[in-house]
This record gives sequence, C-alpha cells and structure tokens, in this order.
Amino acid sequence: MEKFILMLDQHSQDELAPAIDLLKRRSDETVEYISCDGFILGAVKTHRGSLKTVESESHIIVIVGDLKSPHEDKDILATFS
Amino acid sequence: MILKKFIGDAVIIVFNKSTGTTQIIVEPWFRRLVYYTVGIEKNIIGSEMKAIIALDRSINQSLDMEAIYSYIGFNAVYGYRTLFENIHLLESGSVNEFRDQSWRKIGRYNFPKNYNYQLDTKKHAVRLAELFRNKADELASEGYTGVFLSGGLDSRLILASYDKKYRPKMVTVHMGNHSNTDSKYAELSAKVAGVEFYLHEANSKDIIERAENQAWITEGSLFLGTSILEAALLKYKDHSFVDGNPGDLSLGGTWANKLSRHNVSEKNKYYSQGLKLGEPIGRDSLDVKMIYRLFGEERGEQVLVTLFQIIQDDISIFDFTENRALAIEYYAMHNRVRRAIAHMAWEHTGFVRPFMDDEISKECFRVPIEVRTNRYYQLSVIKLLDEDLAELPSTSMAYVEKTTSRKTQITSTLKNIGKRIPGVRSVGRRILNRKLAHKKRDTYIQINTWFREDEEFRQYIINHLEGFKSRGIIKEGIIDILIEEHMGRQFNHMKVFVKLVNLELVLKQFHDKFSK
Repeated sequence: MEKFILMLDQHSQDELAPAIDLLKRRSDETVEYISCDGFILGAVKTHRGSLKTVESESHIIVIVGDLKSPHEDKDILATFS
Repeated sequence: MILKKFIGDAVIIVFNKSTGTTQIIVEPWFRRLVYYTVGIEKNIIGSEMKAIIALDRSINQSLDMEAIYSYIGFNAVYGYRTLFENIHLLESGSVNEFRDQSWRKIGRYNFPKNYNYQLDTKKHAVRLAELFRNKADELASEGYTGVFLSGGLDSRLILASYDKKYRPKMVTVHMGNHSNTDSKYAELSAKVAGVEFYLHEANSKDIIERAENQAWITEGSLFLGTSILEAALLKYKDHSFVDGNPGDLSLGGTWANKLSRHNVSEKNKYYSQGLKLGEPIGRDSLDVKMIYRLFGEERGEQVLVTLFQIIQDDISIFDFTENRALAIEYYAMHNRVRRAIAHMAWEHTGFVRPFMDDEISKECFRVPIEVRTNRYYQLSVIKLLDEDLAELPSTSMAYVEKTTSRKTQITSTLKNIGKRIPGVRSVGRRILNRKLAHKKRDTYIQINTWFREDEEFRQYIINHLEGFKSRGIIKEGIIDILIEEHMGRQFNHMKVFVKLVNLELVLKQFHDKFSK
C-alpha cells in the first residue's frame, strides 16, 4: 500500500521528513514529493503500490492506490453527477 | 454530489490551483483509512496516525475516552473516531472539501438503497458466477495467485472463481492446527482444486514476537491473532494475495448477523418497528455484564449509553437507504473491513478484496440479505464455478447441519424454556460458564489453552494486563479478580484479556512512546 502524508498551507519538504521516516519501513520503498503553493504531499511507494499525478492549468490530481499495470485504464474510474 | 462509480482501491486528492481549495475522495469500503487533524498552523492528512503524530507531538496527549470505551466494548475503535481526540477519519465513500478550516462532506458514493425482492435469484447466481470468474481472470493476469483459505464457503468461492488453468501456479495459505476441522476442510479444498497448500501451525511464539509490531503497523485496527497471520504471510511474500474478507457473497450480511447475533432482515422487529438501532444492536453485540464489571454499576451505565450512541451514529450515516436491514449491513461491513487484515498484508505483499469492487458489490447488494446469507445459495454459485469444490464438506455447512438437526432443535427449545425459569437459568449459566472455562480446543488460535499451559505466554498477557491496570481506566482491582476467576476455571475471560492487551499495546506505542 502507498503511504502518504499531506500538509495544507505553506510548509516545506523538510517539515514532512519526520513523518516520512515513520512511514518508510523498508529499503525497497521509495519516497516522492509533490508540492504546490497551498500544499505539500509526501508519499512512500511500495513495490505494488502506485502514485499517479495528473496536472492541468487549473488542477493537480493525485491518486494514491493500487493501480495494476495491465488494466490501468480501468483501475480508477470515478464518475459524478 | 453523488459519486456514481468508484472502480479501484484508492484515495483521490484534487487541488484547485485557482481557488486554492482541496478535495479528497475516499474509496467506498473502508479499505483505505484517511486520517486528518485540523489546527491553526497545521492541517494534516495522512494514511497513518503515526505520521500525523510525528508532525504534531501535542496530538497524542488527549485520548478520546469514547474511543477507549469502544475498544473495550468491541475490540476496535468504531466509526470515524480514533484513540486521539484531535485525529479523525474521513468517511469511506465520501467526497470532502476543506473550507473555513474544516473538512466538509459534499458528496457520497452511490451505495444501493434497497434490495431487489423481485429478482430471479437463480438467474442472478449465473450473473454473479460470471462476474467472479472474469475478476479472477483479471487478477490472475496481474499476478494475484495467493488465496487465504479457511474451511468455509467464502474463501472457497474465491478459489473456485479461478479457472483450473491458473491453479498449478497458485498457493493457498491457512492458519490453524492439524486437529482442527476447519484446517482439514481447507486442506481438502486445496487438494481437490489442485493448488499448493500451506498450513501455518498457529502458535503462541508468533504472538509474543510479533504483537507489538502488529500494533504499530495496524495502529490498533487488528487483534493479537493477526500476528500469526504475518508469520504465515512471510513464507509466500512473493505472491500477491486475494482475500474474501468480509463474507464475500454475503458481503455485509454475515457480519451484520454476527454482530447482532440474530438474522438481520426487514422482518426483524428491531428494523420493522422503526426503533432506534444503537441500543438493541449494542445489547446483542456487547458483553453488557462485563462492561458493568469493568467500570462499576454507575460508570458502566454511562459507558453503555456512549457505546449505544456510537452504533446509532455509525448506522445513521446510511439513513439514505430505504431498507434498515441494508443500513445495518453497510454499518457491519464497514466496521469489519476497517478491522480486516489488509493493513498487515500490505506491509509485505500485494493484497486485494475483489468482491468489494464497484460492479460486483452492487450486483451482490441487489440480492436480498436473506438469500445472500443462505449457505445453500452460496453453494449454488460455487457449483456454477467448480462442481467438485461445491461437493466438499465445509465448516459453514457443518454449522448449518448442526443447527438445523432435530437434536439441536429439541435442546434449543428446552434451553429456551429453562431460561424463563429463574432457578434453572442461574444453574444453567453456571454450568455453561464452567464448560466454557474448561474448553480446551477453543478455536484454531488456542489462546485460552496457551494462557493456561504456556508459562511464557501467560506471563506476556499478565504483564500487559498489569500495564493496562496502572492506567486507571477501569475499576481498581477488577483485573486481579478476573484473572483469579479465569485460573480457577469459574469463567473463561480470555476475550476481555485479549481486548485489554490489544489496547495496552496500542497505547504503549502511540501514547507513551511519543510522549517520551
């Protein structure tokens, strides 16, 4: 599973470090940061887990979940009304 | 806003760059826990409590007593609270927006509102079997070739879903012991299906060695026995696993029935008469007498009122349903999934619960609960997938046969008559308590036997009970009395010991450790 920590408002990568230290438990896990003016997100990726980011002019969308490669197109499908 | 579909097991975070607002969408079935805290300087969201505490060390100083009562009552924190007053969970299946320094729910997942009583269930069984087979094909291609196998029908349904061509590469893992019926049926299922079978002999050492780490990883969402599961998983960590928890085809139904200790249905008096559900379900699912013993008469009463309200609040989330039995199913399923084994399994390997997928779960919930929880109906679906597996004995069917036999029915009638006669009732209770206290083969995880016969394990449990005693949460002296009664074989108090030890392990890790 991907583990993540997100802080809203103005914060830095350094501030997230103690939380990431606790989330990262094995050497094969990698850490990734995504930041913008209003937030900073740190995620620890496991061997099967996935973190996907889609950015447009107006939005940044981050998907934290088990995305499986052969069927990636149908793994996340959220429709609203 | 209605979230019509949510396919996948994920959390979606949406930042609007122009307005600066943040939205979070959580998957519908409590597979992912999303914790948050709100403060003037720090608004934090995280997948684990420990990460939030690491960023704000003041948070873990205020314990939420309602959550503590919930843990003591149900062996888990129920609903969207946590052990700490300032850490909460976002609702599963919700769309949330951060506005004016708080998280507001602005939408929810499209949970079905009612069963379809007109459904041709025989035809629908064919549809379900087809969905399960398609899902298993997809999972096999993605490398999900491990199955947790019990001796019951739920996990057998998963095994049956896999086409025979995949089975030579598959493994099944079972925790138990060679003398247990459940283990024998599991081994038989694996043999007939032609898959590798591994029985991990449940033992007390696994608990002593792993319980602390288990509490750290799962943050209190699991109980001692799961430490054994971790040991079993490590043998096959190269496989990714599929799990049936909770109740597969019956989905929330099995757990709703277990929680309330009677069949949940729209015909039941609690649901048809429109009564508040918190108290009747609470009285059925809690050991009310033990609450009074642990907290004393006066405080015990307050604790019970709190616990009933917790259940009421949790069920109220599903007030949009048109059927109260369905609302209880959702409540039961969410609490069951929150406690399930995923968080431990994810630590080591891939892990999915396919039957909670959008399409399959919605198809299941069309079938009325009375049909879905019927073991013969479940067998009919398995039969469509694998006739040989459907023919085998199972613990579920053994239970059905036992409870419907003429002898059991006569004994049950006599017991019910006896319960109404005061003198007979108290003698009957004493006999039953002693019988339970002497029971040797308690379950496949023989915690009671280990406690009585294994000095090292007994000491481990007692040390943690002593630790909990010193916190002053429950009535002074009561733990010593309970231990004396248990060792004197007057009662079997192992369930309450396990709850208190679990809670002590979590408090040690998350309250005490961070305070230092």
